[in-house]
Amino acid sequence: LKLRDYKRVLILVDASIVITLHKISRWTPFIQRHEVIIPGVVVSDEAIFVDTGEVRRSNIVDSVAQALSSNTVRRCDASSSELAEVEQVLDDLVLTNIHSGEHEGLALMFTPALEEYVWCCSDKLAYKAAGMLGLSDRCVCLDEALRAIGQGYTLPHEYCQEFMDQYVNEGVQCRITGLGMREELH
Amino acid sequence: MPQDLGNRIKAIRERLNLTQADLAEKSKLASHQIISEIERGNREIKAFELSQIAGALHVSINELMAPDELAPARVLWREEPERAEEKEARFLELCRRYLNLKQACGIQSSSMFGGEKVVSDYHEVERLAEETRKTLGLGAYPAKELAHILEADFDFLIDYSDLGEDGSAACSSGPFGNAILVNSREAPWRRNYDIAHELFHLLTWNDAESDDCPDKATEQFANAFASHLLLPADTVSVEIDEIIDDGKIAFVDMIELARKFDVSTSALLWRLRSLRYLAPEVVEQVLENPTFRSLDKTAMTPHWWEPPDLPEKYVRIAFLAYMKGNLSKSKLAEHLDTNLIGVDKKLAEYGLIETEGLQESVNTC
Repeated sequence: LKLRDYKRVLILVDASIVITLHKISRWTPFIQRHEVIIPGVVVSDEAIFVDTGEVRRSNIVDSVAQALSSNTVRRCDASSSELAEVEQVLDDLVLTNIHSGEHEGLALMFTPALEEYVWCCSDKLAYKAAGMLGLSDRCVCLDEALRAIGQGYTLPHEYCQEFMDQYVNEGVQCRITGLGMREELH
Repeated sequence: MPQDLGNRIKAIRERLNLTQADLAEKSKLASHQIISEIERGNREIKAFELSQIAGALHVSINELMAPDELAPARVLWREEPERAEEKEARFLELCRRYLNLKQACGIQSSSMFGGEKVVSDYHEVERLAEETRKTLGLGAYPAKELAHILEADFDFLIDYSDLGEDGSAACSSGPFGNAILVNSREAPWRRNYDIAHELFHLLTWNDAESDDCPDKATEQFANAFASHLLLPADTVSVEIDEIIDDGKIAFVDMIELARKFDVSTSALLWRLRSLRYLAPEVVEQVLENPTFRSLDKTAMTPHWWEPPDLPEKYVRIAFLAYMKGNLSKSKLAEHLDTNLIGVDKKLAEYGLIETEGLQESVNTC
């Protein structure tokens, strides 16, 4: 997937991406140039964005709330039936070890209304799960998503293409071998 | 699906003695009517609601969504604290997470203690304590190493939590192995005794009644076991013979000896009674003596060892699962009771730092 070929890209992001975009001061251009969706689990839990060492209210909570209220960013909620679709594919060991926000994000990827969106995270298991679910061509790393809008930034390796490819491919291999997949489906 | 899920939520809520209003409040949902509708299957539950409800019930989303109902593991309490159900649920959640993490790292449960021991009198309790001390390799002053050896060599999970003023300790055994819950508010020597006491229940787990609180006789056996385990007759005799002067033992020597064994003065005094060094009425007199109590208190170290928020081995195994790519970082944060922003800091508290290259490996011959 070469995002630079697209004018406007639809992206589903998890909490780590929201936090990092704020850390590197790229949140505003990112949400202005990409069409961004955040899973409801991530949005509804303010504690995700609060630095436990700080007394003051997190600026991430405020800026996410502002972006949502101005419709610059959208929130999407998966239903329990949509979560169950992911549960039918991945085995308990994988499901138990991903966060509910990641579980929801992956479930949302299967809703018809979001079929043009790509999945952006920075986590080994979340990328691997995407590969296992057959979403290998619908994943993007933050590095690529930023460069696509001319906002390149030197990021740690977990935000880069090589990292994403490695773990998405591991997931694809699991999909082929059945490792981590529910037995009845394989 | 919504009805099954609603039934499971209701069953777990009732097990925790929570009302629908309690659960709504804990889940940060607007009203108890939402819980009522979800439980009756009249409402398609959203992922964020499910996540918050699961968190409040101390289970994971997929445990809630699993078609088989979550079978609750048995927990034996020494003295039940206030709101025991919730503390128990949190403890069992930690145990289940520990099992998941071990599986994610490909580690098998390896406890040598299967809970198959049976005792019917004090002689058997004494023999069991002797045998256990040898098996654990505890040495002459067992309390100093007991917790560490159980955790490091015998795969016990020891969780120190604030159980309030009333609760002392609990234990459980299941697919996760053996686990002990200790009140972090207790003094270190009390915690050592509690661990030894709970160890007895785990060794005799299969023989125990199904009640959550063992009967009085079993509790007395557990106390006797703890006393024999932590205060070996031979070592205590050698030590006590050295400090007896003209048929008397000075208060300060007695207190110092209790510190040496890392037990409470009360535990030492009752052990001296069982070894026939002191008469029972003398033990009671000493324990009520204001001078003795004052000396005991002033001899306490001002800085006790403070147990970590979470068991160290649990944190290490969670970190290992994350480094192996089998646990997401957000989930790691959740397991460590923090969030993505705070997770690195929390890991650093346990001496763990995420570094590139931790996954490098070599080919074997």
